[in-house]
Amino acid sequence: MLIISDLGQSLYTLFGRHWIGKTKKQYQKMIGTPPKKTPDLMKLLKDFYPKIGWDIRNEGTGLWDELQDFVENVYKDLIKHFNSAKFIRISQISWEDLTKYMNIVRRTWIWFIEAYTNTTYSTDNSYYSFFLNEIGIFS
Amino acid sequence: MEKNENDLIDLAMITTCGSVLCSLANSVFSKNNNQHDEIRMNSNIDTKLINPMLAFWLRACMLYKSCLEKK
Repeated sequence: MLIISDLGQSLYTLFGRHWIGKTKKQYQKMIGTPPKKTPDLMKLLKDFYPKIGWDIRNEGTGLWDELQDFVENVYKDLIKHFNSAKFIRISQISWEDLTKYMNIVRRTWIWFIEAYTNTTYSTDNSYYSFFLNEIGIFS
Repeated sequence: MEKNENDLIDLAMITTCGSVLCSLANSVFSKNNNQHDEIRMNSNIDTKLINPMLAFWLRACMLYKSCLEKK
């Protein structure tokens, strides 16, 4: 639960801060008045980011579908809106599932950093230091 | 029993470290508003430069790695 909670939180904080700090102004300039309240993560990625040229649905490896499944059916359903009735479902999450979720979030971070820094994922680039296979988690 | 206790202590320490890291990063973030539009990532872990969103990712990695090593 802690791992999934942190994975979800990392993305919500990343895109939430990015939207408020920079993207909202860009959206205002390019498209028009943004909503007063920051939209939910998936709504941001689906309805707002593509209009300024960041479309994760065109990423090409199926990341969008996997991210949507993780955020909606795992993070939000089981962790963010936890109740005791969901405990059995949570306990049935396998190690393979957890590894898959780690990779989905990692790939989303990499997608973000590539777009943000206009670079391509590379083991030599320090932007990607915390997302390398070499840190011993991914293989 | 002893092994389980050690596991719990490990987990508690990792979680606490992660929480401290998050709090510290949030604190730094709120005091330096100009940092929010720049993602600062460096291969050397410098808590002053780690932003809150990265802290969550790092804590997930630490917890995952801890579980991986115990598997």
